[in-house]
Amino acid sequence: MATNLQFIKSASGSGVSSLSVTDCFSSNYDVYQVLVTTLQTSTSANIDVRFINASGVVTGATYNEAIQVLVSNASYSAITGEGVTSIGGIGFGNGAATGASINMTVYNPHDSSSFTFLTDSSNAWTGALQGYQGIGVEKTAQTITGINFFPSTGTLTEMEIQVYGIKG
Amino acid sequence: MSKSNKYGYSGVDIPSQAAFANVGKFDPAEINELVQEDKWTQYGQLELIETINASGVSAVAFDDFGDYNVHLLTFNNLSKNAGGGGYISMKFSADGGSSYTGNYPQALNMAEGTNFFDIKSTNYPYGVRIGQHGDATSEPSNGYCYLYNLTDSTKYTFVTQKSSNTPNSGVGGMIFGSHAHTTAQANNYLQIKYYFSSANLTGNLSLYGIKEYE
Repeated sequence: MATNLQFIKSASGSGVSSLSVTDCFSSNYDVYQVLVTTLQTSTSANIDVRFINASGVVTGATYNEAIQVLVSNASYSAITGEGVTSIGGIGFGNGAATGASINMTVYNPHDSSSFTFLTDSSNAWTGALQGYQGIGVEKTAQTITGINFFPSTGTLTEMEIQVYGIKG
Repeated sequence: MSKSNKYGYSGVDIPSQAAFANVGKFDPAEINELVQEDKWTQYGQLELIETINASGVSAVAFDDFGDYNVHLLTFNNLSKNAGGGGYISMKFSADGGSSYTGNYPQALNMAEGTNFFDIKSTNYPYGVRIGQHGDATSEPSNGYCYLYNLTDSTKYTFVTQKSSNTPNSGVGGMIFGSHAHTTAQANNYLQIKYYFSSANLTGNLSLYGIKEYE
């Protein structure tokens, strides 16, 4: 059965400081689903994300974020930022191979007249269940072509990313 | 391949084929062969595994998960007929539903009427709450769950979930958040039930797999 979730590109890396999926956003789609299906880091770390344009990774202070961290054995907390250099804490990785997941929807990345927005849901195990529910934006009206993931500390021991377009 | 040339090429430098990287001109027999080998570009990576239209049953079960790391479970107009306002839940089994291990932590946000709550547990005994329901078909839950690593014996199963609910007396509600089953096992059975007490379920549920490529 053909459905409107259409595979575009995947990327994987081992022992790297960051992992990018380049040229995955185009004028063919307005909305994308990005899945991180394998995630392990060298040490406990938030997973941050930046977008990529024609010049490379966008590292300026042009991101806003609002993320709730839900923990099964402690009070919930929030990660917020305005004018920050990445969307920090869209997920969490640690040294255990028990698995983790990140599921993002990205809106209008390739539209040069629109900001690029994302929504995010993720899970990780840190000795307790840790979930992230958040939103983020790169608030420059520009053409975004790819996405870059990196841990707040340490390296990505294993990471696999799948990018799909949602056909309107 | 029965012919001496392939994909419009002949000789020794015939390109190898892979999904989303097909090269050449193909006749129908070649296309069929590449489809069988999962090497033909086909769009539509949200693949329906099964739809169950439940009507007054004590439990709903899925026992075919295909070959996927990520699954999407949707449910609409899912209701129960007894038990008061409560949660229909989901449990996983690795032996066809003969037994279910515990270990279901959860971290959720919930709204009911004008009130918001944090719901957390290090081991919720009734599994993954997928929604909150009243006691009538007019008090259903609608929502979805993403399931990760369901059949991977080396990893925990994670679930993110969001539902729009009618817990009781027409009050609106919602639940979203994270769940896990922290027993690393290759699940082959998923059961959805009102575990608090006996109640029959009515509603439509679909399980999809999201196909991945290297």
